[in-house]
Amino acid sequence: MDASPAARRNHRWWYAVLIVPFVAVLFPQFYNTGSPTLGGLPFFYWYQLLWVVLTGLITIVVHYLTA
Amino acid sequence: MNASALVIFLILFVCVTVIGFYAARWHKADLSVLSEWGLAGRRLGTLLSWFLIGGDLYTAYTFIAVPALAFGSGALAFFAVPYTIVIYPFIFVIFPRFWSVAKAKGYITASDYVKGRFESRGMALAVAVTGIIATLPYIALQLVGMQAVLQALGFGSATGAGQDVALVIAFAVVAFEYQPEVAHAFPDMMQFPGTATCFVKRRAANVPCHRRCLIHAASRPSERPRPWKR
Repeated sequence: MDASPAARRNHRWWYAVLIVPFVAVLFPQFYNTGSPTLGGLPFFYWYQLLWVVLTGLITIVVHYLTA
Repeated sequence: MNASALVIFLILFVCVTVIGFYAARWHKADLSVLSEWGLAGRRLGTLLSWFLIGGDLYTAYTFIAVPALAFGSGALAFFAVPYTIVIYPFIFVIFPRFWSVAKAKGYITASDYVKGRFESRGMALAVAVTGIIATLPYIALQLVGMQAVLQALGFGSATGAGQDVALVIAFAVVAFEYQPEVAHAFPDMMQFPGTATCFVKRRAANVPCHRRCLIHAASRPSERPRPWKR
């Protein structure tokens, strides 16, 4: 990957993607509902558990894009 | 008493004890140097650091208190899930930068960093004292959690002394895996109970004890953090 200072500054913008999980999980208003259920599990629960996985994937992607 | 749970517990306890005794003699370090004592000489690689961060985050609180709260109060306990989710992107951004600055300047504790960055001894002291005071109730919580585990395994009753004895034995084993350190820490333990609990927490998570670091930072000129320069 190009390691010139200018390219590195451009890479830094990828860190902004990490704001997405903060917005997605720190506002319970977004997911404070029972439906749709997933295998009988209310939305409130499976949405948060889904974000455990999604946040991990987002962090991996940002790690490689900023390396 | 749940026999199978007890057997699993004892097997794991013996395994961890043996690994602990082995680890204390593996890559023997000069424990009079503070970065060796508190940070394993900054030699812990990605995998061990990963385990340590995991061990710091997933404690008796995670496995006992949060499920108990969920059982008692339902969805309220789910506050723990979002905050655990957002910790990782946060430390992903902060920690590598923090690590390289701390390594370059020779910082060991958060108060070393604050002292170097803001050139304020008072603020460094405030951070160290806050760390100790905030750690005490957390350790108390861990002990209550461990007591609950031991009680569930059948060591004593809610009012009996059985699980206290088990707890003391467990901590004694952990402490004597590191005899030089125990001998070293003993006078401090006598002076101030906070040091003893801080010591236990440090053993559990390999986090350096703030008070000891303050003492060492003051008494060992070679270990003093270098002044902050941009």
